[in-house]
Amino acid sequence: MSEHRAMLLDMVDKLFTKLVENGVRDNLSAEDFSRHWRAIEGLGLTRLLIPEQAGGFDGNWEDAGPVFKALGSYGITLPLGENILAQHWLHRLGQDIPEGIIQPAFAESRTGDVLVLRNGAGFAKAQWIFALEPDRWSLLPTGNADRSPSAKSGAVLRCNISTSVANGPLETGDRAFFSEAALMRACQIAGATETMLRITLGHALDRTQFGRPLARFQAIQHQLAMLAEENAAASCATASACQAALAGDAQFEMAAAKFRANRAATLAADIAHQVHGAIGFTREYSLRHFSQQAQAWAREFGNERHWALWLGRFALEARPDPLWNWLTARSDDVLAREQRGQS
Amino acid sequence: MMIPDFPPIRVLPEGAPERENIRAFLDEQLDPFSPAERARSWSACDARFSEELGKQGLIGLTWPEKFGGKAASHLVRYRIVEELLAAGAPVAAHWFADRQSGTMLLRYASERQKARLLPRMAAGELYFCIGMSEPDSGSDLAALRTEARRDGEDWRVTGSKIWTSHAQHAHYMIALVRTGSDESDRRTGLSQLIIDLSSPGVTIRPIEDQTGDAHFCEIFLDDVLVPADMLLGEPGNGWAQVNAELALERSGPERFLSSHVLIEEALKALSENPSETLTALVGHWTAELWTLRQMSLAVAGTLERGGDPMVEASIVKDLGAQFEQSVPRDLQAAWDQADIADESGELDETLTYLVGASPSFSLRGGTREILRGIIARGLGLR
Repeated sequence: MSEHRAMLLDMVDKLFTKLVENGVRDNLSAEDFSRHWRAIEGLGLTRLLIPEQAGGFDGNWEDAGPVFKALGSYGITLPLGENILAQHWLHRLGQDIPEGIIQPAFAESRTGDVLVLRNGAGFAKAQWIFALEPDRWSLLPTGNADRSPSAKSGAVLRCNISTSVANGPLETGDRAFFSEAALMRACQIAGATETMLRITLGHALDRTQFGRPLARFQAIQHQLAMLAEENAAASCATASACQAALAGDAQFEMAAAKFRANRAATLAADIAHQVHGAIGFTREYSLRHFSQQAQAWAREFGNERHWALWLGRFALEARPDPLWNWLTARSDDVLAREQRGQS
Repeated sequence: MMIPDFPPIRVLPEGAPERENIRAFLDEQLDPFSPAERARSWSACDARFSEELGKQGLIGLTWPEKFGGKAASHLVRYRIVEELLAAGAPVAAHWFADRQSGTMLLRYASERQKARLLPRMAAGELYFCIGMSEPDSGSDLAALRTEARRDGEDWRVTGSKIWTSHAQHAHYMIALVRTGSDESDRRTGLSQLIIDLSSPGVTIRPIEDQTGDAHFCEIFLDDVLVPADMLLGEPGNGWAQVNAELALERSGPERFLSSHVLIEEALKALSENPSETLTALVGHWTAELWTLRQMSLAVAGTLERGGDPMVEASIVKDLGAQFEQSVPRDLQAAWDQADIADESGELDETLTYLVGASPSFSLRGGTREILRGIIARGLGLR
């Protein structure tokens, strides 16, 4: 690992440890939220993928992946990942980065100048929306948006495109952003499965029943082995996709990583809860921050059905080239580019 | 607490043959084989193919040149092996010599035995098999009873081995036998011997499996003479040696590619725009295959750097076997005549074979339960 990356991750570990001590996982008041967010912004983390000459951290996907993963492993749901990606895209699109929190959102429909956007509960905290249509982007202030009365927790917004402070064509298409956001979520899931594994191992070693620790029961040992396997798959798939993203086009790897991480999210949560018994089901115990969050992340930016169909079409369209041939060509290409980059 | 680690591979295999050259060779060689025959791959012996592969210099790649190898890295071998398996080449004859016996000889055999055996193994002419399990000693390997006692400097071996794949074609077996006894620890007093299977007193009986193939065997050893210099390594060190040997067989591409021929054949047979169920199944396969290959390559990278990825290798094998077993099962469940063109019946034949063969995927080379025990030990639970 480069020294630069080691320093970044050390800084992130220290910051996230402190945020957790300060209650970042609790239900946050607007004031608490702002306080935590200022701590993150103060370190420049939202500018992670912006070049140094533009005042950024000059990071790449292999720096961002571990930061996204750390969000998952610490159970932090502040929209850091979303802002890292939105700022990265705005910079690439030649746009100055505005002050404040940006929420990326995909347009569900457009009638005249009115965009209907849907993207979870993130709108409430954001000052800006980075709105993506299939071939256009726009940056909109949330102040002028109309929160649909029928929407739960502000999940749907109507925005008039005439209020945008900037907009333009999207040559890569909005799916490229969707794939990157999917990999971000996949990394977060991999972080959450790792913490689920750690917490569950700790519990199995500490908790005694029938006169011995749970860890001594073969049935429990095998459950934990399977949890470790799922964590390994999510971790390796996401790290490999970040490596591919650094080398070039990685839509396939991002899709595969999100699909595999989604599967790991549910399997890991099942095992972690089963081994914990009722203790893990309490609100007080920390497991829920990881088990529930991992499954929420699995729903966002493409569930398993979405990515399985996407990947299936990708493989079918590649015919008559055998699957094996293009799969190995892609991975050889990632390594060849990486070696060229290093030399 | 140790969390298993799979750092992505960072390097291409240096000096490896180009994939297109390997594929051109395999296309030519495998032309006469049906998909169901290719699906057998490392369960199928073909002396002619192994010899041809030896001529191409593709066996024993990692061994020193003086013993018939190419002194290539493990990553070079990985590329060759994954191409052979993905294409469904009948590699079983030389497979065990190439994957593990050769490495064991290099580590532990006398110089004389290395010089005598390795070059012919690399030529694809001399086959080895693995003598571990016994009738009363399967997963519980340390319970084995086959005994070797001294006869002057030499050894006399009596007992039996079972589930040994392709013993009927093999020339030698590396057998784990009891050479001493210690009531307090069954793992001491075990040693590895290279047994010439043409020796008097050796009887080999193939056992038909549920698919109708007969690749695994029972081997009876009745006072078989084994010369002194056919002892591998140190007497009494067999348990440690065998565990090192098992690490060689648990993370390779054979642990997730056993159903690969079926995947490629299914892709060929699927219509232009298949149902969502079948499309999603193909998507699921690509994601799992890509992930498992990345994990297996990560382990290969760790091995290449001299690490000991015992736990990681067990994880790849357990997840890989689950995937290999899911492929025929899920294709059968999603099969839809409207979307699958299989006039020749070859896809159906391949599927039928793999449905029958797939239970063995989580039994051979360490059962699922043994692997999960190893992982649990690595996690600090036992």
